[in-house]
Amino acid sequence: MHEQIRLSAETRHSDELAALAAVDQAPRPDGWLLSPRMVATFILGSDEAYPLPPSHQKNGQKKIKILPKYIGERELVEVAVATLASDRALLLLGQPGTAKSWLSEHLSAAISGTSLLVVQGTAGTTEEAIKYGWNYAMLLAEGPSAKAMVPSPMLMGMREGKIVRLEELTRCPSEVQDALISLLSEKMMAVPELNEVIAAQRGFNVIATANTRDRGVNEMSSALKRRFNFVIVPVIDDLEREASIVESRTAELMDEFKVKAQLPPDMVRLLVTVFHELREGKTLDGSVKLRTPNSVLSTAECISTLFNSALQAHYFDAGKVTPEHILRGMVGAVTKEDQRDMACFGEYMESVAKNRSEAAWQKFYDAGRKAGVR
Amino acid sequence: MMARAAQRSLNRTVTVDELHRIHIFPVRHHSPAASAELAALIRKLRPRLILIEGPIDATHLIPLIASDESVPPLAVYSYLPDARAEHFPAQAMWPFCSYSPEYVAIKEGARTGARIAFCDLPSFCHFPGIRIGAVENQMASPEAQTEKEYFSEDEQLPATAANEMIPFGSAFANRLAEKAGFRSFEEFWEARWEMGSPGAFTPALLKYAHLLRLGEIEELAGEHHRVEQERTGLREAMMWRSTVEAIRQGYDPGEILVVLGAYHAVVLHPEIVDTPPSTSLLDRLIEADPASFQLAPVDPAVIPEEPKRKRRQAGDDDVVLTLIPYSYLRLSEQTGYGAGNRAPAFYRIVWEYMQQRLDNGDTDAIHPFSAAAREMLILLRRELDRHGQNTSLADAIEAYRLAQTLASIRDKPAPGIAEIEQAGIACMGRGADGVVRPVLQRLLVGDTIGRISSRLMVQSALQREFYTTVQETKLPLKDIPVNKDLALTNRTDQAASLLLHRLKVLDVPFARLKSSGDRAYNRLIAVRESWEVRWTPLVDTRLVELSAYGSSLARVGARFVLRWLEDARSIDAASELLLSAALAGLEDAYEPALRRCDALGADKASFIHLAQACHNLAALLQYRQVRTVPLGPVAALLMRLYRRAAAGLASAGRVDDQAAQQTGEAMKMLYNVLQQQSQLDPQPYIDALIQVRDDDAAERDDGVEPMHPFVGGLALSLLVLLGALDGAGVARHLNLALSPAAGAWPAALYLSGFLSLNKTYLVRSRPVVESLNDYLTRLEPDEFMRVLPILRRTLSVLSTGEKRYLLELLSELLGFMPAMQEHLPVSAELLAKASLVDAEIAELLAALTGDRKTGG
Repeated sequence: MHEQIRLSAETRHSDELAALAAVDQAPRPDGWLLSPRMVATFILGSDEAYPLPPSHQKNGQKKIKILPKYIGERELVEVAVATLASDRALLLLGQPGTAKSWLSEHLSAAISGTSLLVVQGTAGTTEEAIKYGWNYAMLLAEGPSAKAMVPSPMLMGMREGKIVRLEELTRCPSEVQDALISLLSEKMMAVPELNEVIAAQRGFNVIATANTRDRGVNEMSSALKRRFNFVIVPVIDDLEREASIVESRTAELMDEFKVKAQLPPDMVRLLVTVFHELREGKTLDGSVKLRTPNSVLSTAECISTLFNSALQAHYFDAGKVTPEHILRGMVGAVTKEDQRDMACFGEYMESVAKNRSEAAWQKFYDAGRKAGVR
Repeated sequence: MMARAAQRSLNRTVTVDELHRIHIFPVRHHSPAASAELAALIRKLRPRLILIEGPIDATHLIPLIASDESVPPLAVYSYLPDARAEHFPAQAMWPFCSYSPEYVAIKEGARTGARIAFCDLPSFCHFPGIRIGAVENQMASPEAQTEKEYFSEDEQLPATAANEMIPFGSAFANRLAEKAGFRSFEEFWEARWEMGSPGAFTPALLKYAHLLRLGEIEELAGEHHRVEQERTGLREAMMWRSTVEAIRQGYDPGEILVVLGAYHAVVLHPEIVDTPPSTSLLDRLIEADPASFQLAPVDPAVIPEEPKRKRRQAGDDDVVLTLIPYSYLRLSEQTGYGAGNRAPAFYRIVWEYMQQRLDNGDTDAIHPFSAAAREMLILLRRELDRHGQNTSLADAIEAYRLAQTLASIRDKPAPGIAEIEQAGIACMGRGADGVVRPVLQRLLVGDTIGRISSRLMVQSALQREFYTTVQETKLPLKDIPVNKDLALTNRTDQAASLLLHRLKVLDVPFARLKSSGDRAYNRLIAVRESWEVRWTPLVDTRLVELSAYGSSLARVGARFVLRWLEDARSIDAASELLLSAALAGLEDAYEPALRRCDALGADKASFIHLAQACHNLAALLQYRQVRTVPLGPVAALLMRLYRRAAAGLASAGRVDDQAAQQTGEAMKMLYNVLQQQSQLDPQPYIDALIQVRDDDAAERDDGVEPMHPFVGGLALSLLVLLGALDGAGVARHLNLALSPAAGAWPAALYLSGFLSLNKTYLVRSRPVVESLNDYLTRLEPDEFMRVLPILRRTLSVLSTGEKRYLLELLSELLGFMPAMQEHLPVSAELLAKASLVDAEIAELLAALTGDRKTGG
């Protein structure tokens, strides 16, 4: 039997969404599947168990708890949801790996029931990607017709009144960004070839993401900025919170990829601590100053490092993540952009890891010595 | 004196039934919702008597608070004018803003013709550290109990009197809020109480206060809390005593409205009586024989019949009670005390909309918080625009909508502060809070300060003088720092400067002088003054305190200066005071200051102090065009002090290294005075300098401390400047001082003194450079190493030009001159050679000292 590698958010959490919809009494904005408050609950999770509608009951499970999808400030999510119910589009800004896309995916899944209307912003993104293209065979055969038109995800979202996701907005060339302006303010798209204007249905809105490191690649015009409410997704600065996110997300990934490896909690903590300290440029107690590598040491990066370690453990070793695995993953993560970053990591090993007496840290340090990190 | 009949009726029994007919209104201080409900109640009930939680001895101020000429925020200020009060703060404040229920009760009550009185313990009972019977205010320290019965040494300033009872800020309160799904108690309060529908406030608050009181009893045990509880018990007993007495005086209980903090109100409120807190005052009050009602819950003996401070001498034991203006900023700084404190300006807008609703009876209108949020966001946009942020009205509209949606997501009836802030950041700040948050914060707090009408007698003469002058001279009255430049050529600014200097002398925290230099001298010769002005309630509290000393700022200032003059122990301190008096125009202080200077300048005054004093007096004389100072006596005094200074120079020179530097500075200062004041005869100074110079040269063997070479060198240099010595003479004395017999070290010190003045002349003087050269070439290598640091220091102050002169002269003396003038081709080879030579020299030096570091 074949299985999809990755399920979309709405499929993965269909039970939760159904349960929330069943109990949702609050008014829903037009075109929304859930009320704003329930959308926020879906994203932030809830300890309360909601009754599952009969069609979703499996193996005798009658109630479901809502898992947190985003661990962070409640206000941030609330502002994001409230924005989507307003006239303005939402722009999620943040460093790479701060779960912007993750948040955008789950927001659109909860609001529109689909997270698949995505436009990926790149330097090569053309206007067609946010407007429409043509099936040229049909265009030649029949001339312009509704059938020959290939709608963009944006156009589909407008027609159906759904949330459209626009990834990496600032990577799009400025003509694409300009096309977006009229689209967002008029909420209409003219198709001169068909002598037609397609109006957006209620429920349509856009979630764009942009990378703060990319600011300036294609600086947004102030006209476009005015069409968005900005929400900055911060890097998580709380170690405990980060550790719990890393642990749960890695476990989810391992589940998806059917990787069976043991993740000792002290390994997770060690990795998160290393990331945290290198990112902050000082140790947790503030006693040692550190050089910060250029590589982005985001939470997402941390998760991927841990997952890689788990992969190694699963396929090549006894299935238990050890400091050696962590170290190998770490070297890859840190030196991704710049070989000089290796020196930062080496300094860290010598000035911080070496002096920590816990067994895990000592093994980590020894592994580093063996691998020639210095 | 009370009539006997009245006395009898005052002793009649008050029944519990009667007590239950009293209207009790629970408030939270500075709560618009409480105020709105209270105003509605007063209009409906039209009570004959309104009792308000506030110091009973401030009741006479109520008509003044109610006056339309007084504009909130203002505060009842109580203070003890006592010498000891300078060492610890015997004071307390009760601030009110326009939406404080206490203030609203006063305004509404005045309108409906009710009698209004305060009913809490007298103001002094709220001073920190004070003891009432067995109960001690929380600030009291153990030592305070033996020495001073009533006061502690604790220096902590009381923010407001009501601060000591903060049920709303407790951990318990915060946990309740968290449980209800809010981030903070303030947010919880705002959403559940302030935004609630009209009429819902009182029951909800009472229930909450009841819960809180129960919760506190369970959770906050411990000694400190017990003391607080007893104090609270005393205060409540006092409030109820006032109420019971009102009934005895003939008020029908149904005509009495008591406005109390919810925490106190809960104890006797009829709605709570059914489920009384187990250990509350209520139990005891209800169960007790009503006749014994006046007995306190804690201990009957300690209830003050008429609280009075005992053991104080007559005349100085009057507590001063007055009204002072207050500011929104101060209000916002009192954390935990009352709702609305976080954002006084915002809640004022809310209150205005609530009043509209109250006056029109229009309950369908937009929610006051929504209206206020809209106004706030428009203000924010305007302010951001002013800060160069590119925002449009569309942004404000979007922000308002977003705030509304956020409120509905959070199940709030309308947007509050949190929603305004988040919407502002998302819609106007492009997600970044760095700009929006501080701007919004300022808007929410506001810079409003209150006003007390000048016609009201509560203002002291000093306050009146202050406010009148501030108005006349156009000084800013704001509770934010404002820069103010004063041009002293302008009459208005002169008056402003005079006022500010007076306030400075009197330690009134209103303005800070920003111009450079701390000495009065620098301030005197300036024609521009740069001040940072900021009004705070402390200005008024200080002015009220100072009122005890006189009725005008000039007179009080003079009194202070006179007192300091008596304490002044040196001539420079006294002359500095004279300068301060001149700056502040304290004419009464001139004569005594001059006399004091004269006396202190008599025999034992040191040269340094005298020189400083001469310097100050000279400044005063120079400054005559702007300020009115008696010039004749000053000039005469300067003459006397100058002569004394000159006479004292020789002994000031027989000192150690450090003191020699100070003496040197004073010598230069005295020289400057001579330069400025042409009427002074330089001869005495010249004589003194010659004495110093020759003293150094003379062989002394009588046990007297020798003249310090630095002073000697400087004296020689000064003599050149004063024209008392020609080039040849200089060389002669320099040769003497630098001769091998003098020793290498003293000679180096002599040089440093000599070259510390008038360098340009000296390095161009051939005889001088010659003797300098002789001295240096005579030095043994180890001697050279020893004096090198001091020589380096001496010569390093030379400018490039001076160094060139020195170099030219030297090369001429050494016969290098022709070579110097030739153009030398500089090749890389030569440079390399030069650096080799450099290195060699460095090595040699290092070898000489045995230590690389000192060699460098």
